Amino acid sequence: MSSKTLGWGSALSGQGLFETRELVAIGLFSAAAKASSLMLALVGGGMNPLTLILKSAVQSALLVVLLAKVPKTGTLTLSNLIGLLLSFLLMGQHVISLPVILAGTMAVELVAWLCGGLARRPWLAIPMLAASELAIRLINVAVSFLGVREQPGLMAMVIAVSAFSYLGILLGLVGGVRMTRELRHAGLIQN
Amino acid sequence: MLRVESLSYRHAHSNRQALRDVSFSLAEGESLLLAGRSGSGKSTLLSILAGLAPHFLKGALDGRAELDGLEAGAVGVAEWGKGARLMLQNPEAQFLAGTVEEEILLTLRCRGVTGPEADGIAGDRLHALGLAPLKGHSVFKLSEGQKQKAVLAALTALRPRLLLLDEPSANLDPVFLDGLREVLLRLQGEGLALIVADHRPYWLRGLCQRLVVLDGGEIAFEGRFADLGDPEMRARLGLRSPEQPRPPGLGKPDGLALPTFPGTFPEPGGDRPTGGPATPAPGAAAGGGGAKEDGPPGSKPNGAIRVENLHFSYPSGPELFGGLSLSLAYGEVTALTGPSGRGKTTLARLLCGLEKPSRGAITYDGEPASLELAQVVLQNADHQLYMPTVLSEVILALGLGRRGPSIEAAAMELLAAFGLDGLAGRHPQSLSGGEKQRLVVAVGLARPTRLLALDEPTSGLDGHNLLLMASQIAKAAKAGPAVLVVTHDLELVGLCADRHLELPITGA
Amino acid sequence: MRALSRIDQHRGAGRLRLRPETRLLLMVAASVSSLALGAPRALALLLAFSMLYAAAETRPRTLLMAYAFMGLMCAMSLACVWLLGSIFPPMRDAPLSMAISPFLRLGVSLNALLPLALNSRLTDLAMALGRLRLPGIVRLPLMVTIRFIPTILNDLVQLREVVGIRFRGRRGLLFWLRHPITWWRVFFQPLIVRLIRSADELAMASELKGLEPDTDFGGHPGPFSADDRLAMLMAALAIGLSAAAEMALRGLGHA
Repeated sequence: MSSKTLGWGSALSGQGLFETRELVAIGLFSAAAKASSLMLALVGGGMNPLTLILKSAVQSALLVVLLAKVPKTGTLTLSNLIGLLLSFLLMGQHVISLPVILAGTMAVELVAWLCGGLARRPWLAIPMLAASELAIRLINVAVSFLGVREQPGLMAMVIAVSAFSYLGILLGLVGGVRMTRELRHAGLIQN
Repeated sequence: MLRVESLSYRHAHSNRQALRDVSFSLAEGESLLLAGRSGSGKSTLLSILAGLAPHFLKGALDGRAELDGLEAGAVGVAEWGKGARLMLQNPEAQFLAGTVEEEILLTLRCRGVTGPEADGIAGDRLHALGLAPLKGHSVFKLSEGQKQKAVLAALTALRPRLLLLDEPSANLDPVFLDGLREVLLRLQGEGLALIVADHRPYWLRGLCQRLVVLDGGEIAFEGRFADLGDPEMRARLGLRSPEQPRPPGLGKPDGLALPTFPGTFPEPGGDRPTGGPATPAPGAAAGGGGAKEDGPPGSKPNGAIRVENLHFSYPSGPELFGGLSLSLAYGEVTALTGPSGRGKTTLARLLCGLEKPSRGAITYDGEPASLELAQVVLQNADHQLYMPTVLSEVILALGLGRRGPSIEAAAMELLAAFGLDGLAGRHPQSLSGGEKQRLVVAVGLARPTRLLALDEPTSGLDGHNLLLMASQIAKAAKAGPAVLVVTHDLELVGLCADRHLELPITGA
Repeated sequence: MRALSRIDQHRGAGRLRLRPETRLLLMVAASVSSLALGAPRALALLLAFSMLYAAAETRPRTLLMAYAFMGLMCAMSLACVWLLGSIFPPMRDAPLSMAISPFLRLGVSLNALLPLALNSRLTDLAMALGRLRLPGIVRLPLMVTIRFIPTILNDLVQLREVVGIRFRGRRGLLFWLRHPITWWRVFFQPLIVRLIRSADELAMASELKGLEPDTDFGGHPGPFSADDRLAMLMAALAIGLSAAAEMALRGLGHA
């Protein structure tokens, strides 16, 4: 193997899990998730329920395809980390929730790994994404509560936004699975 | 310097040999044109010579490729990349940095060169390739030609021994091609060996001494660049002419032998493009600082699509058209050429109603121009293909989702006209670049329209498919609409245009 | 990535000429401390300090526009609360003094974000993260993400246009609502195909360059400037004073 690899442990030990090409793919898919959600927000308005659903659907479908292209433990956590860092840099979001969300995603990935891992059981991507996205939304609701604890009425909006976006996530999973099947047929993703 | 011996390669997940028993060698400072029809294995060979196979591309590699004693496959991509560098067809996809200078510095940093030494090398490269004034420019704001030069500056920063170029002329106009040729000559003077895979050989005259033609993954011809002058060999191997094509009306250049394919040329039903320059047709004289036109000056306009006193500029950009007037005739093919950035695509967009003029009018038989009356096929084929099969892509265009035996038969007929009927069941995104280009034009022809505008329909086509496309464009015009072809490909202009509009060069 | 070889010369725009790291640090500190504080008066004090920082680093017109937008968002939220309060009366019970705390927090976060967002290039921010010892496994994809967002936005604009051409006369919202699968296919499939191709090409180019995940893009930072040090000191003082105010108010039973 000539390609240089780096993974979770590499920062500590120099051994790694990810190749350069996989890190590039993760970066590009994160860019697409951010760009498409910016575009949808511009076209449809940020808080419109339809926009919320579409943004999340595109995001989760992108993740399904990414996990088919890079079926490794750590891909989802890394992709989420990049997305969160970008939200932090662009909009100052997720300052507090970042470590909690990461811990949640890693826990979900750990469970998937214990169940055999994505490389052996690609279908695990779907329950894994459904669970991690649910965890992310629950954590966001909890952190939002910290910010508006004196005015709990504001939580209604936070919960509605989270519910719409999770509905989008579920729709996106269906779309992502269909798209992945087609991309395999076209030879763009290898079996 | 480079020795290739009995090289064979099969892509991962494929049963077909992409390359078979390829052998040749290249000396220091020597340049070679790698020619061949689409899918003949040119890009695969370049990838192997760049060190990408088998490490990056996986697949099965047999035989040997040696660069200065180093064997491909025995060392990693990065190690091999010190000696051989590859410029991909899409230069923008290779940039990781934001500006030209940063890209060179990043390339150097990847090899451990930093600080004043890196600054010195970057300055030298920027100067050598004429990029010094652009060093801080964002890569997004560069023209295609400038992007290629910036990539070349980064690729040659650490003086590799071999430079490989994949279809460098695909998106460049003749002016930029001259500039690229000069740059490559300068690099050759520094001792760099070059292998250029390209469908358009004319701009490589004087640069490439040698010629290797691939066909079906095998070397079908090996000789001197001058051997491309043989029309029989070109016809047999689907190659384009090595002569500089000239637009009609400027006279047929000496020695220009437009390719003909006796027995294999897909005859579109008695249409004219079987070679020879197009005949200028009567048309309105262009006026008002716009295009210059080949055709009898002052002849009476017979066009039904009229542009009158057109003024247009993009926000915060210079004025592209300052009072342009012209007309396009139904049933004719009008070719629009000119340097990059002068407004060819913009004029096509204005004609189709995708942009609104600042002043003046564009009318179709008196009706204002709109997308409802026109059909435009843009350059990027990937963006225009959505469906799971080639057939359903055309059916969608023909009937917007309605199916039925008649629509299906019409779709198959259209696919057959473009030589794609054998691929009807394939996924559009699994086609080669040339096949996709033909498919999007076929889709563009599927619905009746008054104006059909095609933006660079032949940028990646070999000689055989160039003829096929030219014949279909001419046939489309015969069916009624005005056809506007925006192109840098003067061979295409010669093959199918009835009129030729050239936007003026303004010292670009 | 201008900072590849001479980061010490490159500082962000803005009157204070702060390094991106400083602005990042101030933003994190402002967010964490605003969440920790609960007393409206302590939060108001922190808001006042953060406004000084924002005013020093942001053009007045931009600042006013941002405040107007925030005001609009707050008004919408309050309208929502009022609506819910009329359905569930207990929701109206929170005293007004407490009800403004969430908005004060929002103001603090906005004041800390504006100088960062308006005065730093994204590539410089990524460099700053690299210098903060972010591991290569995160740095490389983050660089790719930042580099490719404009490219993908441009692709999406082109996609919209192509769909407009292909589905001329059928572009209204109603058509797409009636054909959601077609919408999905025409927008999503070309995007995905483009992504997969770009990922392969960029990975190829990166490996040929010799780019490795642990390649250091960060350059060597010079020492923090006097402006950086002053800004950090002022931020520490502001947070300390606000925290002291919170404790004092709690002691007085005003929290």
